[in-house]
Order: sequence, then structure tokens, then C-alpha cells
Amino acid sequence: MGLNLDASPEELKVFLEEADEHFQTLEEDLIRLEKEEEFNEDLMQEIFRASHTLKGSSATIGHNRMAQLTHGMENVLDKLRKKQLTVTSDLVDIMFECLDCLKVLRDEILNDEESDLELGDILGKLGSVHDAAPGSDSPTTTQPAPDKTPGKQTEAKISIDLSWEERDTLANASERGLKPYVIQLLFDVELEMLAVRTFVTLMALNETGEMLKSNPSADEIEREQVTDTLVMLILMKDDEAKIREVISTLPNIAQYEIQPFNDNVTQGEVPSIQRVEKVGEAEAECDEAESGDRNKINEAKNKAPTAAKNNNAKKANRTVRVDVELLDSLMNLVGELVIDRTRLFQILGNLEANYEMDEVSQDLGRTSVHIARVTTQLQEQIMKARMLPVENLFNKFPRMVRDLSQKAGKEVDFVMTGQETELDRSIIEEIGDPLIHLLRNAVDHGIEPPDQRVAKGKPRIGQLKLQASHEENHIIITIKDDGRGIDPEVVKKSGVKKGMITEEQAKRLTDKEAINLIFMSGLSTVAKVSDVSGRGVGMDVVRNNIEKINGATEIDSAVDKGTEFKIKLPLTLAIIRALLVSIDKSVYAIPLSSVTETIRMQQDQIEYVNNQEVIVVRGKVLPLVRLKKVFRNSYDIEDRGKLFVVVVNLAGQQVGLVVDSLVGEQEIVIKTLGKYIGDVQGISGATILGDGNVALIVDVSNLIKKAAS
Amino acid sequence: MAEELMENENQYVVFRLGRENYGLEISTILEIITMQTITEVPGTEVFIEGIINLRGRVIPVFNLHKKLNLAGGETTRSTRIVVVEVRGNHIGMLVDGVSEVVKITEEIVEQPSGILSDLDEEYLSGVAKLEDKLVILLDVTKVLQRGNGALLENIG
Repeated sequence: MGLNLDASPEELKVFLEEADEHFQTLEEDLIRLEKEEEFNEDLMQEIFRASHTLKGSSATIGHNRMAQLTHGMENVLDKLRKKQLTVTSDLVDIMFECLDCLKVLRDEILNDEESDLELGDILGKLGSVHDAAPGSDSPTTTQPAPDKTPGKQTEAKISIDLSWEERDTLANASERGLKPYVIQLLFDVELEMLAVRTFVTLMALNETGEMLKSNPSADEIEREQVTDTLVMLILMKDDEAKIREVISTLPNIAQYEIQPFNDNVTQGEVPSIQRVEKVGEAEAECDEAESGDRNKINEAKNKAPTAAKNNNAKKANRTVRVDVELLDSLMNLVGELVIDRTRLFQILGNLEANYEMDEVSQDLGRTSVHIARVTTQLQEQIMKARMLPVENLFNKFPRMVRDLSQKAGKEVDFVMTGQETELDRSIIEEIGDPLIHLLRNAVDHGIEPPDQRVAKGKPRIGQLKLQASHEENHIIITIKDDGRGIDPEVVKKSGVKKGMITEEQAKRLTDKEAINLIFMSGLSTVAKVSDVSGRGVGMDVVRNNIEKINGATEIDSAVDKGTEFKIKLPLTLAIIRALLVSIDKSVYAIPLSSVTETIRMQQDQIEYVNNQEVIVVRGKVLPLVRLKKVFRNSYDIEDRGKLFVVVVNLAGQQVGLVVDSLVGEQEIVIKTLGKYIGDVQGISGATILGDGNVALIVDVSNLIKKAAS
Repeated sequence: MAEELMENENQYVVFRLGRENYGLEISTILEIITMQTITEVPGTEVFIEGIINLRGRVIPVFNLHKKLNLAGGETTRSTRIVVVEVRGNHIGMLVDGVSEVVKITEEIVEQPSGILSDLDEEYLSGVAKLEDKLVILLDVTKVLQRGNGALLENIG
């Protein structure tokens, strides 16, 4: 069943974007509200404003259920604001429940289908909270006061300025048997929630005929630029009686006047009224209703992400929304340009080497240098355009942690830092699930119930930290808890029990290696399976997801001290730094993110363990993988004495890759091998080198896995 | 182009593979380029020669000799890479040389009859009898099938 909303697809899109912003504000602020001990008036106002705006806009698009729910929320929030109610965790729970319902209602719009969500329950809860507060004896029709934004009253002559189109419509109206009327309404003075009232009135009258113009316009009403007067120009078949009939059914109308409209009576005919203008609100006074969309976007922008910035709203909106696909294709094009830049210099080099340089070729040289510079800048800028602060991702976590900890009966102090750190948007998309998983684990398994913590002599409230930071060419995300930590012995036992390692192997494992076992598929140390974690799926998926985007995970844990996960991510997916090596005259690229060091050593330093070549580096045994054997299937019998080893490290496992020689370090643009070739063992993609040739990119995690098995 | 063509007449690019002439419908061909440095990809089927850089795009190159079990296939001055598009994927095919573009009407095309010893018939859409030679018409989608008869499962 469709929703029959009263809005165009564009309007809905704007509404949805706006709604998401308000949801986000509500979510963040509610959590803050719960935490803060002192009554924070600004915060309260912000929450109130968000829910209030949601109410207005949901009514605008005709989503009645959403309007109904936000109305209920607003009533309770108003009590809070007036300190007639106090913030309790139960109350915040109810608010969150409302928020969840709102999201379901929002999805109704997306699916254009009414959900089976019943609002009765939640509205009942809101009602009882509301009624429990003092001062609830006011009739239900009296609604909370609109937030009195400091406004200045300006005298404005109301005039019905008609655009040419509107005049046209007006001129044609009589042919269609429609008569124009001017309706003037005066609302009960001091009526609260004027904007909504005005809107409802406008909508009701709109049904009697064709609304040509109103003052304030629908947009202005939405922005709460309303007064106690509403003037409309309406085209209708019926006569005044019909209007009177409709108006008589509307509440809160103190006075009204209806008169037939004729073009001569336009300017200045209507008495001047007071118009409220918000201080600092962008004066986007587009009178034509059709430009409403733009206004809404401006408005949404100005309000986002944190409200109470009205004073900054004067700053013109200087952003545009861009499709991600467009950014992707721009990135691809820049990638090609980067390759050509390198190529151009090689051609120039050849030219210089083989021919005498005349003016033309010097000109070419200068132009090449310029193109190179512009390309570098372009690359940087486009990469920047693709960056988003991790905030967008982190935002949903506080709520999640709160809910999880409540469910698990734990007390958790969740702290996030570095939300402003920027990452390529495609990476942000990829790391969402792994982070959720790690946070869940931390709350579910890491942090102990309060009593246990007290018994251990730890503070009752567990600490959970999520941090993002910039480190050279990487972004580091750490998740740290001060919970019970991972016991290497337990992991070993579980590993042996599941048959993933033998007892022999288990004995030889260092604690760190043992802890890293949790990344293996099928291993779970938790005896009890909860609905969120502990089923033994997950950690391996977490690691795979991170490695897929050339990231790396590290884990550090101590029993009863806590666990720390460190995720190292590249800044962007498309361009990475790589170490170029040569194997059998072919060039291969090894992502620098996984390279620890390169070692030059003698053939006779190789030792054998279980028939496997190993070398000892600073007392640590490293298995060797001969890339020539892996990729070329040829074993270099010829003993050249010296060999180059590239030590790679992923998730604590180190392997030495034997290559013929090192070529250099370079920025490479990652390309896929294409669907036709598909997945190739040990190769994650290809890149184009400066000379135009194609080099393969080594899939380090795959090689390490192979070496381990 | 279309107005020059009679009904049931198609243009084919004729190229040499060993001693035989093969034809590919011109509409499937994107371009024909000279030999490039081909980067071998380890662990792929023998008939995948490797990958090349086609103006910033990495595309696979297919060895028709190996696929069709033909003798020869050494790189010479006339070796070309014929780039075709199959279901949105660009794929290069190594050929011994491109000779001409001909118009072939349906009347002169015979269904393959098993006389072609060293060629799997399933890759053919027919044999065209031109005045001076026979041209084996390839069905590019079938030729590019991977492995043992599975359809281009990775394309799709």
C-alpha cells in the first residue's frame, strides 16, 4: 500500500536528507543529555528544535504518522525543557524508541509502503510520561511553545506579488470556471505552535481549491517565519460559503475575511502585518513556491550538522552534492593522468638523450613540468574531495554501545576521539562493519559486569575508547577497552579443541601468536553464544575486510588489563605507495603498508625447519617465500650467493619474500585484473608503470596464508 | 556503413592464425593494435597470455593459438592484438596478422562439417567460401569461454 504522500520525489529526497540529519542530532544529543549531570539548556533546545523541525516537515509532506509521533515527542521534550520533567535513563530509552520508530517511518517513505509499525504503544508511553509531569493540565490542543528564536519584528507591507506564471494561471482561471478569492485569517493571539497551526490551516484550505499564493508561503511556514496572520489567494469552483464551512471546522481561528480577488486589488490592498524574521537566517526570499526545493536544501545545510549556529547561517551555502560515481570516475581519470605524467617524463628523457634539444622540445619540457605539477595538485584535490571525516561513521556508535551495554548489564564509558580525521569514502564504507564487530566484542566479552570489575579492584565503569588518528600516509583506528583481555591459554585450548592447531603447535606459540589465533575462522573463546557475538564468525571476517582494502589489523591484549585493536588504513583505495621489486625480469608491486623492512642476505644464511626455508632476523625465525617459485614456478637453482628479502607483516605474522632485486618505491594506481581473469592466487591487482608496462600487485595476506599452511 | 551492406550481409575482419584465415564480425572488434609488452599473470590458464596496458586500462590478452590448438604463434612483425568487447569486457586476442575486411553474405557461409581437423567446431559460426580462400568465422563469445565449457562465468 502506498503512502500517498503530499510531496514530489524531489521534495521527498530533501525531506529524507534533512530527516537523517535530525535523527543524527537527536541521537547524539540524547546520549549527551543522559550523560550530563547538569541541566544543559542549549542541548535541550537543540533536541527540541530537531524534533520540532521533524514534526513540521513530516506534516508538510503529509506523513501523518510521523507527525503524530514527533508531536508526542515534542510534548515530552517541552516538559523537559521547562524542567517539569527530569532526564532519566528510562526517559532516554523511550526517546530512543521513538527514534527507532521514526526511522521505520522514514523507511516507509523509501519503500513507499506503510509498515506494520504500531504507534499506539510508544505514543502511550510518551503520553504517560507527559501526563506525569506537573503542569500537564493544559488541554491537549495547546501545544508547547515554539522555540522563541530571537527575532526582530519588521514592518512589512503584505502585497500579493504575482509572477507571470501565476498571473497566467489567474487569467485562465475563469475559463476553467474557477473564481479567485483572497482569504485572510487571524489566529488566536499567543497561540503556541503557530507554524504548525498555520500549516494545517493552509493545507485544509488548499483542499477546497487551487492555492495560488499564500503569505507566508509554505516554505516560510516551514522555517517558522509565521505571524498570527495568514493571507491566501485561492482559485476555487465553489463560493465563499465553502471556505467558511472549512474554516469553521478549523480550531484557533480568531477572525477571518474572504473577498473575491480581482487583479486591480493587488498591491497594498491587504493590510500590513507583522512578519517575524529570524536573526541571521539566510534571507532566501524566493517568493515563487517552485523554488522551494532550493530553499529547503539551503536550510538543511545551514542547520546541519549541529543547530544553534543560526548566526553563521548568513554565510552563503557553498557546497554541492556530488554523486559518488562521479567522484569515482574522476579518480580513475586522474589515475590515468598520473600514469601519463610519468610516461611524459620518460619520453622527454628519451628525447633529450637521442636528439638535440631545440626550442620546440624545450617548450615541450616546460609544458610537461607544468602538466606534472597540475596533475599532482589535481590528484590531491580529488582525493580530498573523496574524503569524509570518520565522524559520519563514528556517529552511530555511541548509541550502539549504550544499547549494547544496557542489554548486557554493563557500565561503559565510551569515548571517541579524532572524529575529524578524514578518510576516503569508499574506505569508510568498508570499515563500518568491522568496527561494529570490534565494538560489540569489547562490550560483550571485553568489559566485565560492574560487580566483577569491583571485585577485581577496577573502577566500576568500563572504559571503551575509539580513536582515529593520522599517521604519515595512514590512518590508524584504535579500539581499546580495559576489560578482561584475551587469555592466550584459553585461545590455545579452543584452537586445539577445534582442531585448528595441534597441541604441539600450541605449546610453541608465543602469547602474541596465540592471541592472533582469534582471527582464524571458526574460533570463539566464549562459552556462551550471545545474540551479538561469540559464534566464532567475525574476527576472520573483520581481518579479511580490512586486508581487502590494504589495511592491517594488530591486536594487543593482556589478561585483566584489556584489549587494544589497531587498524591501519591507507588514505585512499585507488592510489597506494608500493615497493617495486623485480622477479625474473618482471616488476611486481608490494603494498608498502605491509612491508616492515628489506634485508640483503647471503644464500648460506638460509636455514631449514621442517623442510621450509627460514632465516633468522634479530633472533626471530622468518619463513621464506620465494616469489619466483610462487609466480614463475621456477626454482632458482643457480646460487647467486646474495638474495633480497622483503619482510612483510600482516596481523602479527611475518614472512620474508625473496625477490631478485629491489626496483624502488612509487605511488601506484590500483587496477583490477578484470572480471575475465578473475581472482588469481597471490595477486591482488595490477598497476601501470611509468614505462607503460603493467606490473602485478602482490597480495601479501594471501601469500602469508599460503606460507602458513 | 549500413547502407552499403545488403541484407544478410556482414563485414568481417579477416586475420591469419597459422596457415588458416579466420573472420570476426567487425562489430565485435574495438580496435587492432600492434604487439605490446604483455605481463604474464601467474596461475591463469595457458591460453591467457597475460595483461596489457591499453591507454591506462588493464585488459587481458588471449592466445588463440593455444586456445584452438594451432601450431605456430611466434611473435613476428605482423603479430597484432585484436581487441574485442564481450559483454562489456575488453579482451585482446593475439593473431598472426590482419589481412583485410570483407563483406560476407549468408549464402556463401557453410556450416562447419568436421573437415577442420585441428579446430574445435564449437567455436565456429561457419565457414565462408570466398573466391580465393576459405575464412573460418569465429564465434567470439564461445572462443572466450573459460576452461571446460563453462560459460564466461566471470563475465556477467
